[in-house]
This record gives sequence, structure tokens and C-alpha cells, in this order.
Amino acid sequence: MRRRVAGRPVAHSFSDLYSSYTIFYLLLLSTVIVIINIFNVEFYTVVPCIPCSRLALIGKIIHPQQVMHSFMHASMGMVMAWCAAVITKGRYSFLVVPCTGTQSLDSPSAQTCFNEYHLFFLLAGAFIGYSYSLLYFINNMNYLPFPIIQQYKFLRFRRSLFLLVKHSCMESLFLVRNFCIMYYFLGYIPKAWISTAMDLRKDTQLHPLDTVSGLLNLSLLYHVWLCGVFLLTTWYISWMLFKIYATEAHVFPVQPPFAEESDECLPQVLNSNPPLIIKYLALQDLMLLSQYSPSRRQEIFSLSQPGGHPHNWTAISRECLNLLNDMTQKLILYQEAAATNGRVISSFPTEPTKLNSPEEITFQTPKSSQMTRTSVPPVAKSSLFSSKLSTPDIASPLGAPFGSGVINRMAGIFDVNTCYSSPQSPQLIRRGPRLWTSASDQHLTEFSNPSPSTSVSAVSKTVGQPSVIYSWIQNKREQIKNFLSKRVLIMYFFSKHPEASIQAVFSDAQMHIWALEGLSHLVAASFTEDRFGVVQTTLPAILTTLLTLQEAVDKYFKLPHASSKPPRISGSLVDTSYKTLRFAFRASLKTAIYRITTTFGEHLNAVQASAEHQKRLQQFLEFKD
Amino acid sequence: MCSLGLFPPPPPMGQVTLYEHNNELVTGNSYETPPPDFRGQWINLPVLHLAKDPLKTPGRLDHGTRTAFIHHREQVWKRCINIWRDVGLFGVLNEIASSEEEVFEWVKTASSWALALYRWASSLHGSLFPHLSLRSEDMIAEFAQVTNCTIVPSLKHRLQRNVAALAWKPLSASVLAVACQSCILIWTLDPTSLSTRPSSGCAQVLSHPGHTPVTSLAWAPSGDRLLSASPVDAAILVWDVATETCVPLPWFRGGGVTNLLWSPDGSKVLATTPSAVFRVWEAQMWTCERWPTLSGRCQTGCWSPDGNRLLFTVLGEPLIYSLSFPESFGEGKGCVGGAKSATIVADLSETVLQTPDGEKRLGGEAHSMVWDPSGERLAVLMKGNPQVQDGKPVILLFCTRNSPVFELLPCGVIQGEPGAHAQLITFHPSFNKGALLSVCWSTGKVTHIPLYFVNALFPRFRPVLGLAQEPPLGSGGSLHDLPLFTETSSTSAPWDSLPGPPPTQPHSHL
Repeated sequence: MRRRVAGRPVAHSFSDLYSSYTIFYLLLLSTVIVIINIFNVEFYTVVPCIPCSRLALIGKIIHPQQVMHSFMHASMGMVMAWCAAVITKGRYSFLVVPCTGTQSLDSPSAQTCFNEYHLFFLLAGAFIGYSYSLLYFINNMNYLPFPIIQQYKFLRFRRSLFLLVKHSCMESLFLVRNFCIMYYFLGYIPKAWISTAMDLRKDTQLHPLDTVSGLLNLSLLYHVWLCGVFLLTTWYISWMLFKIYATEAHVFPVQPPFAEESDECLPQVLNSNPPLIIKYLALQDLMLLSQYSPSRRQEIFSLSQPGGHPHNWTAISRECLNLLNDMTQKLILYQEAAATNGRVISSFPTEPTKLNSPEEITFQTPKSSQMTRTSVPPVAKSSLFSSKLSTPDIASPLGAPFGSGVINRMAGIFDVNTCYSSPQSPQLIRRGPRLWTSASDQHLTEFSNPSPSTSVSAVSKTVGQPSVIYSWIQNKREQIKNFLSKRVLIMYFFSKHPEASIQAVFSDAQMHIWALEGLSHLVAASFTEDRFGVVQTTLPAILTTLLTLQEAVDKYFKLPHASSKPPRISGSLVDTSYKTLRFAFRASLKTAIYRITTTFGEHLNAVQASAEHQKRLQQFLEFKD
Repeated sequence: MCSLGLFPPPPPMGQVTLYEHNNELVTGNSYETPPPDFRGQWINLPVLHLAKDPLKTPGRLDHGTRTAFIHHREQVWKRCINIWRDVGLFGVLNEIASSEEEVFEWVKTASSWALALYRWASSLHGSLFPHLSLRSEDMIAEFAQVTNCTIVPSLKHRLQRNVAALAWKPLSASVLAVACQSCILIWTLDPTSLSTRPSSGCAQVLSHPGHTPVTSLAWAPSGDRLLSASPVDAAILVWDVATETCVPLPWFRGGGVTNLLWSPDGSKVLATTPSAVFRVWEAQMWTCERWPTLSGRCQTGCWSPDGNRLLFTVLGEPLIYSLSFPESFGEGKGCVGGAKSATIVADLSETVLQTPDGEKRLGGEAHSMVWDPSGERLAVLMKGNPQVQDGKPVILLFCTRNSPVFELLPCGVIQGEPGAHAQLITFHPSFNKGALLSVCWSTGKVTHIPLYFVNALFPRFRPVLGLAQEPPLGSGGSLHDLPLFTETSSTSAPWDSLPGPPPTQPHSHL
């Protein structure tokens, strides 16, 4: 279908549609489109890559993969321009033309002259192709934004078609202008090269094109512009179709109809580590099913047939909570890095050294666990606690006795609360060592995860060997930094743009937004639809996670630059929604908490939480937040 | 079908409606003195009186700084550039055509010709869709759901002109969307903040070319999307407010959208147009069904709480129609699934009622309708009719029942103070003792009229065990079993005889 879209307008304008040449050109054009599509498929991303400094932007452009992309696009552009030039059959179609003014000389070698128009056409095609590739990366056009509402594919395509054509017309105009300027200054190089290499002579009758009067050839400019519009439109259409098909909602079954298909069902996909696009689609599907599909919600709330475990709900809620806890950690780390503003190094070594020794923690008593907890900052403390709650080891042994028998919801909540909220209860002490191991392991992995604030992660990685060499390296690094920061040019390239680094923190926030929406809709629906009370076992953990995240977000948005909006470009083909994802994240977090509190109302007082969270919940219940 | 002949006579002149109890509207002499027993047991609602003095129009209407500077006559081309940036091509043509002796004669002639052509073309457009020839203020007055719209904001913003609609975001305490002349303003007002006049930095501006004036806003009940509509723009915009992205939902027939109404369950959206057609969008895949109404445009509509029934009225007809949307069990995506035809459920045409004071006339066309969130009361604000109560808009109250079959029964007429015209009616979104109707009067008063009955929305707040032991309630408890209008003999207030805690204390069963 894509090929036809590309080929049809051209094909219609010709009478000799079925001549072998035309079919050859059309085949060539469709090959180009196929190659462009291969590049689209290879280079797409669901998490936008946001360069934080100018150096990073330059590094992004000269990355070998990107250079290859640009080179291929330039050559594809040249091929398309050649096809367009040949198909027009005018004076632009061949590189070698019989000379116009030199018939009298009669020498056979003088019969052929060099056609500069053709070269101009080809170079324009290459230039437009290269600029397309450059803009593709600078504008993050390889980022796949998911639509804010679900629509049928045809409607989405039709809606964006007008914008697409308008955008390509305008862009082609700008690119042709830029190309003319470039050709005016540098055009003599390829011209001289080609004419000497092919031993062609210049046609003296025609104006050379790298002069002002030569470039003011309106017919040529019009044709080049048209060729650019054709090129950009076809490429953008294939890009658009790829985007529409890739971001279309996909339905993952909650329960596999056959045992061997269990890898494709929603809980498995969420808990494994598939390619990011699959994970995004799964979370989108979770969000949609939690809103629109009562029957699939029922499958999530159901118990497994032999055994009676709420496996589906456990798996889904665990993954969502893990995602949200990761976000909390990320925000806290970033905020501490920003708050200490360079004093990061002094504050961190004390903390991870304790976390760094899993052997000790394995055998620790509750007393030592309290020691560990005192060392972490207050917000991290509660999130550490909640991440512990969401680990699989705890959820299943707790779920087993309640899920198997017919028990009432109250008992479930009460029991879970007592054992969750008071760490001194015998149940927890018995399981204590295992719990703390898993919790600290998770915390460790979060620490060693590559976090966006590279300085922090680098510090926490190297912190393991507190030695003389290490401090010496640190000192040297500081000295070099101080030395370099005085050089203006270097600062120009290295200085981090605050807005960009904030955007980078929230670059994958779409995932978390869906996790929030899916989770909150499921919890709200469970009020009436959950017959076995499976959601209630995790309700305290969910509330704790959400409130901790809310605290972290509140603190984060008090940082400078965080709550200022970047300017919006409306009505453009280029999607810039990733720049404001942090506001969407904040809004959906608040909405998610309100959704749960308004549904459960006064019942939330029975859910045990820390006094701080209890107070916060009360504020949400009274709509005072 | 329900007609006005069955209505109880309106209260005598000078009486105001205070509350509904026992299926009767109780009246009193004034709002300030409700009966004493209501002070203790029932809720005591304040009567808001918005004095118009602090809201007077400011001395300087233009909030820009332009008036502070001495006017300086610039070159005509410079002026043109400025105007082109502010107003567009139309303004440039106007400027050139009206400039004297500064441009060449032929430029001036050409621009006046172009202007004439443009006006002719827009008048042609206007003759296709007559509402487009209205000024934007008139357009707002025509299509707004308020009888007489004079809103003076105390939230001030440079762009906040000609406010046509306000909408609080659901599941949020602080976000207010305001439909203005040229844009939508999203105010974020901290509920704990003490400042009475938030700065314009709290407002976020959403604008889309061609989408002015905005006359209707609708938040999704889940709070994540905002719809906006303009009578000029054929497309409804779906906004993701936080990222400021919008998706237009185009529909080229009908010429604009005047009013949007989201069903309470969030599954459908009613979009009325200035022509004799309205559409119902389904809110998952965003497909729509159109309903060519009989005569005239759809004036107002309201959804039942489960989103399966739509009541609407048509301009120029004293009738209430009902349209049912049978629930689709097959998880049908992208299908609205409405019934094939609408049925008439109420006839509001003028009737004469016999009262002790003599004959009284009642009826006319409906102006707006609201249905309470539990689906048991329907309030209809009528258009002012010179034959009825000296042209005062009347509020009619109906009792409704949605399942198993739809029923609409008359309940009474709500009357305000003499000389006060009702301008806007709305129901409280979660009032657990029944329904709470708020009425804005033309005198600047906002009164709350509680309608006490047992609300099906909040059964969970009643003690589960206590329900069985409760003495048979005369009023609310038997509402579902007894036919409406059955008189109960209890003269004392039934809440006095309750042994347990008063019903005002909601109990959880946990």
C-alpha cells in the first residue's frame, strides 16, 4: 500500500504508464521507500533521547549509526531526485546532453555537453535527504509518541495527512533555499569534478548555476521544490504509517487460552524484560482494559484454578509498583544531586557502604535493620519499605492462606496490616533476614542502575573502594573541572541545559503514567468487582507507594526550572509532547490518588498506614490537596 | 408520558422553596429562617449572596499597557506589520483601505476590493450557517446554558474575555478550565492558598487556530481528558491538558458544536450543533452516530447516571425526548449503539392549573435540564414565558426512575424570592442524603435546595445491620416500594424516632 501511495501521483501524470522505463523507475522508487522503512523500523525508540548538553547533541549527530543513517538517506534522496528528473523528461533528465551552441565545430567529442541542471537536481535530492536525516534526529522524530485517544488507523492517518503535506511543502521550501545558498558557495567543486572526470565540456550558452542570475531560474527552482515535496511527502507518509501501526493498541490476553501461549499474556509480558515497545504496548493495554473492559478486569481479579492464588493480580500490581518505586528512587536521587549541588560526593559514601554488604544484612537482626533505616533519608526510608512489600517473596505466602479459603475482606486487610505495619511482629522477624536481603538487593540494583544524572551513578559505582587512590582521583577530577570551567568555549559545550536534563529524567514517564492509570482504575473497580478481595491485600502497599511518590514529586517540583513550561509549538508535525511529560506525570499521579480515595471514601481510615500518610490521605479525602 | 396537568400547583406568591421532604416541596417565607429542627439534625446550608459591588467592572477595561502610552502615528507599513501580527490579513486589508494619502491609490482600491470580496465570501458562509454571522458575544449568549450571562471574574487574566463556560476538573481539588473568547484557560488554584486573587501565572493557556470563541467545555469523568467546542469550528478538540496536546475530531456537517455533555460513566459524549442535528460520540474509539432531530436544534440534554439514557429537548418544542443506549455486552469497540428512535417522555406544553388562588398557567419550552447523580430527580429550567408567572423562568422538578423501566413523574415547582429569576441550575455531585440542587438567581443569590430521599448512590454509607432493624421510614426508605405521591401519615419528623445515631452520620461496615 505504501508503494502505491508513492507511485500513484507520478504514474497518473504520464500517458506511457506501461512502458518498461516507467515501471523500472517505479520499482526503483518503491525500493527506496522500502529501504527508508527499514531505517524507520531500525531507528525508532519509545523513550526519546534528550541530549543534555551541546556536546551530547554533537555526539549524537556524529555517532556512526547516525552517520550511516544520514549517508543512506542522502543517497536515497539522490536516487529519488534522479528518478524524478528522468521521469519529468525535460531538460533536467540527463547528465549528458548534446551541446546547443557548438554545432559548427562538428567534432564528435564536442557533441556532448555537461548538463548542470541535472547535477543541481541530484545534489538537491541528496541535500534534502541528508537534512531529513539530520532533522529526524534533532527533532527526535524517531520517538514514537502514543496517541492520547484511541482512534481507528484510517482516521488517524487522514487527520494527519493535511498537516503532513503542509509541513513537507514548507520544509521543502526552506531546504531548497538553504541548498541554493550552499550551491552558490560550494557548487563549483562537484561541477568541476564531474566535468573533468567524465571529460565533458561546459555549455557556454547556458548560465552557470553557481551565480545569482543562474540561481534565479524560477522553473528550475519550482521543479526542485516539487521534487523536494514529493520526496518529503513520501518519506513522511511511510514514517507516519509506521508510527500509526506501531502505536496501535494491542490486546494481550490476561489468561492464556492454551498453556504454551503463556509468554504472550499480560502478566508475563509485564514481568519479563521484553523490548521496550512491547512493554509500552502491554502497559497501554493494561490502562485500556482497566478503564473499558469489565470482563478482562474480572480475569485479573480471578483466582488460579488449582490453588486459588491471585497470580494475575499479584504479577500486574507488583510490576506496576516496581515501576513506580523506581521512579521514586530516581526522583530522590536526582533531587539530592541537585540540592547538594556538587556536595554529592561527601554525602553519598556513608550510605552505600552499609548497603553494599549484603552478607551482613542477610544475618541481621531487627535491631541492625533499624540502623540501616536510620541512615537512609526520610523519603527513601518509606519507599524502601514499600518496595519491600511489593517483592514477590512476600506477596505469595501471604496470599496463599487467604486466597484458598473463603475469608472475608476485613480479616484480610486487618491481618495484612498488622504484619506490614509493625516490624516487630513475630511473623516478620521470622522472615526478617530474607526480607531484608531482597529489599537491599533491590535497593542496590537501583543504585547501580544507570541513572540520568550521570555524576551520581558514577559516584555510587566507584564508591565501593574507599581508598587513597580514589580520593586522589576525585581531587584531580575536581581540579580539572575547575580549570576547564573557566574556559568559556568548553563551558559552552559542556554546560548542561537545566530544562533538557529535567526532560531526560521524565523521558520514559509515559510508562509510569500508564502504570498509575491502570493501577488506580483497577483498584477503583475492585471496590465493586473484586469478589475475592485480592486487591485488598495489596491496597496498603499501593497507597504507600503512591503517597511516597507524591512526596517525592512535590519535592522535585520545588527545584528551580522544574515547574516552568517550555514553549509549545502547536500545529506542527513534530511531536514535542515528551517535553512536558513531567506535568502529565504529576497530574495523573494526583488523579490516581484521588480516584482511589473518592472510591473508597471513609473505608481508607481502616487501612493502616503511617501517621504521616494517614494525614495525607485525610487531605485527599477532604479535597484539600 | 408525563404532562404538566399532573403537577402540584406552584406555591403561593411570596413563598420560597426550602427543601424537599416526604416527596413534597416545603416552602417558607424566606431563606433565612428554616424550621428549627433542621438546624440540629439536617444539614444547614448557607445561602450565598454575591453582592455585585466588589465585582463591578473595573475602571479600565483594557488590561494591556497600551493605553498608558501616548499614541504615536507610525508609518503605514509598520502599522500593517503590527496588525498582521495581531489580527491577520483581514486587519492589514482594513488598515490599508482606511489609510489616507499614505499608499498608492491602486493599492488602496485593491485592498478595498479584496476586503469586499472577503466580506461577501464570509457572508455566503454565514448564509449557509446563519449562526456564523452573529458576533461572538451574541454567539456565546445564544448557545450558553445560562439564561443571562454576565460573568465578571475575580480570577483575572489578559486573555479571559467573554467567558462562556467553566468546568472544574474531576478527581482534582484545584484545576478549573475556563472557556474564553480566544482560548481555554486552565487555572490551578491551590485550595489551601489564602490569596484571593491568584496571579495570571497560575493559568495555562490552551489555544488552537480557528477554535474561537470557545463556548463549551467538558472534562472526562475520569479527569484525564478535556473536550472543548466552538460554534465556529466544526471539530471538537480533545485535550491532554498537561502536555497541551490536542486531537481534533472533525465532522464537517452541521457547522460547529455548541454544547458538549459527557455521560457520567464516561462512555459517551453528546455534542449538539447549531443546526437540526446532534451527535453522540463514543469515548473509547471516538466514533459517532448522528441524530437528525425533528425540528430545530437540540437545546439541552442530560445523561442518566449509567450513561444508558439521554434526555434532550429541541428548540421550539415543549417536549422532552428520551433516547436509550442499550448496554453492549460484547465489549463492542467503536460502536455507539443507540436506539433507532427517540420517545417522548414529557409534554411541557402550557396548561392551566386550578389553585386556591385561582388559575395558574405553567409550561413552555425547556432551557436547560439537569439530572441528579443518583438518577432520581430531574430539574428543568424553563424559558421565560410572558404567559407564565410574568415571564419568570420556572424550575420544574421531576422524580425519575431509571430501572427497570424509565419513569418520569412530576414532583413540584421550585420558586425563588419575588423578582428573582433563576439563571443556572445544577446538582451537587455527591450529596449522600438525597440530592442537592443549587440555583443561581438573578439577584446574585445562590441557594441550595436539599431534596431529602434515600439515595441509591450511597447505600454503602448505611449500617448494614441497622438497616433491618430500622423502623419503617415514612419518607425515604419506602420510596422504592410505594408508588410516588403516596401520603404518609407521620406528622412528626421521622428522624426524631430513630433509635440509633442520626442518618447524618455515615457508617462504614468495616
